[in-house]
Formats: sequence, C-alpha cells, structure tokens
Amino acid sequence: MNKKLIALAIAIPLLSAQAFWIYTDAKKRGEKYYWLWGFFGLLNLPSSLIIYLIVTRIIIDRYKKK
Amino acid sequence: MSKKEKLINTLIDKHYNESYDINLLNQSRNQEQVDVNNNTVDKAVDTAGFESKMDGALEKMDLADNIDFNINIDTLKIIEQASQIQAKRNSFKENVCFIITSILILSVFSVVFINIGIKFLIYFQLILFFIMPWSLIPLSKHALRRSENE
Repeated sequence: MNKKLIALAIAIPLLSAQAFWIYTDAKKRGEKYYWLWGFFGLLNLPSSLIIYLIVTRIIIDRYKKK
Repeated sequence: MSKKEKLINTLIDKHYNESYDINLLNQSRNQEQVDVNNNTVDKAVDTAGFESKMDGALEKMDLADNIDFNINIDTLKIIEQASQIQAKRNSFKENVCFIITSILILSVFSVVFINIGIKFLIYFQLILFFIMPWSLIPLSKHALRRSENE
C-alpha cells in the first residue's frame, strides 16, 4: 500500500505538470483541440510529451511551411 | 398662458436683459407681499426664489459649457483593451477548469490503481504504448488534410 502511495505521489504531480504544459502550449500555438492534447498529457509520462512535440513541432510546422 | 407662466417668462426675459413687462413683475411682487401679510404665501409665485433657482441652474450650465470634453478618445484601442482583459479572464477560467478535470481524472486513475494494483497500470500503459503513437500521427495528418480541403 505504501509503495503504491509513493508511486502515486511521484507520478501525479509530474503527470499534472506535463499535461498543463502541453495544454498551455497547444493553446498558445492555436491548436484546435488543446483540451484533448492536455488530457493526452495525463496518460503517461515521457511518451505523451514526445508524441506531442513530434506532431506539433515536426508534422504541423512542416505542413505550415509548405 | 396662465399668469404664473407669464411671470416666469418675464423673469427669464429680465435675466437675459431682454424687454419685459415691468408692471407685471411689480404687480406680482406687491401681490407676494400681500400674500405674506395674509399668510397665504404658498399660493403665490415666489419670484425671488424662482430667480435664485434660475441663477443656480444657469451657473451649473455655464460650468458644463466650460468643461473641456476630450473628444479625441481612441475608442478602438479601449475596445481592444477590454476584449484583451475579457480573453485573459476567460483563459484563466478555462485553465482552472482544465486543472480541476485533470485532478478528477487522475484521482479516478489513482483509485483504480490502489484497488486493482499494478496490473491495471501495466496493461493500460501497454495498450497506450501500442495504440497511441500509431493512431495519433495518422490522425493528425488526416486532420491537416481535412483543414486543407476546408
């Protein structure tokens, strides 16, 4: 039980911070579904952020340059 | 025109130094004195009172004339500032809503994690790792194509 609580105590602030950062960044960039991006940030720790950065910074930015 | 109205017009004419019926004014003042003597002042036109009232009103109007109203107000800028303030407030509210809903989602996850255990977390993360990257990238491309067509 204690291990679970410790794991939660570590994971929850990190996930919240990541989700909020993704949410604010998507909002700033003018993404249409910034709420969904924010919730996507809640799912797991580094990969959500990596996927978000790949999609927004590489795919969308490249598309906009064209 | 009643006698009272005539008297008021005469008083206004007098104030603006225009030609007025002095007899009417004197008559009225005499009548006023008679009314005071007879204790029926409320029935008469109080010429002195009316004159002082009119002077007060005209003084106020002169003051209003002398005020320099700044007409060169940039209304567009004011409207822009107001809309910016409104947008900031809405953004703050939205942020608070997001934080509250994310806390709720995380608390549901935590409850499930505490009750079911690590197995739930492992399966959940495994599914996410396999599905999410492969679904999000084509989904975003599809959304871009759709917006291009629009």
